[in-house]
Amino acid sequence: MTVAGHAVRIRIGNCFGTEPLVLSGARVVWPAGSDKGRAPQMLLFNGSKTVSISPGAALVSDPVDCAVTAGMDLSVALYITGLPATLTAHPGARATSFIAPGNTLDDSKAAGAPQICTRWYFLCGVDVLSHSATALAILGDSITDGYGCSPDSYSRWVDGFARRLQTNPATADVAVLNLGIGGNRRAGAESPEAGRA
Amino acid sequence: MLAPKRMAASAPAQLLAGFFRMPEPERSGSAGEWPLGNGLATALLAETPGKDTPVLRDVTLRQCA
Repeated sequence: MTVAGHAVRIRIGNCFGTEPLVLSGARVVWPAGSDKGRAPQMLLFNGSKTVSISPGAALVSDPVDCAVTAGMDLSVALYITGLPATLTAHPGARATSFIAPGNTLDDSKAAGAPQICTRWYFLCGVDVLSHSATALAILGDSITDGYGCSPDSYSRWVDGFARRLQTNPATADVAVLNLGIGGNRRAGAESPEAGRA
Repeated sequence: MLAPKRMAASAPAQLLAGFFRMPEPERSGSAGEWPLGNGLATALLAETPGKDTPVLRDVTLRQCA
């Protein structure tokens, strides 16, 4: 997260699916240093633990009060029971994701080593409620997306830019949204994997 | 002088438009309470499952944001 606030909600998208995405549970683990410590908390969607996201749609979770500051990491776990044929993904996430069979939202049920990948699936974003924040949306290609950066290193130029903004009280309330897509071009030919131009 | 080539809306522009117009459940807080103070956003693409795609049905997927 790149900005401080006092409530959080999660955006989940089935933007490219042609069948529903069904979640039979979702949970966050609050970051160390937040006012909830590292406590887990179930997420609800319109008050329900289960949600079916229609093809082409994106939903936000019900907001949850939690004081967070810029630079904190949030863990988001989704129990996926209905999967569209075409996935909605960010292949250049450069962040480690963990995949375990079955419902392991409750950590005590986890067994064995999870599968690991460095992509994001269905996670569109994290909204932080702040009455004073503004945001910069940064467009770009792989240079912005983080090509060459190691997973979980947060060493993209955008990450450094966000940290620099944080050090200045005049810009500490500016969130930085990285919308870079590797290979994307604003006009002309592009590979289908790099998004529509 | 050549006329400027007419360009289609760019993908980032489309993504941004979608980002700010996403449907929101009625009971997820009023939209007016949520300014542009977003903690994270990411550009999403279509992925047709291939040999490198993990199986995501009946799994718990943990992601860090």
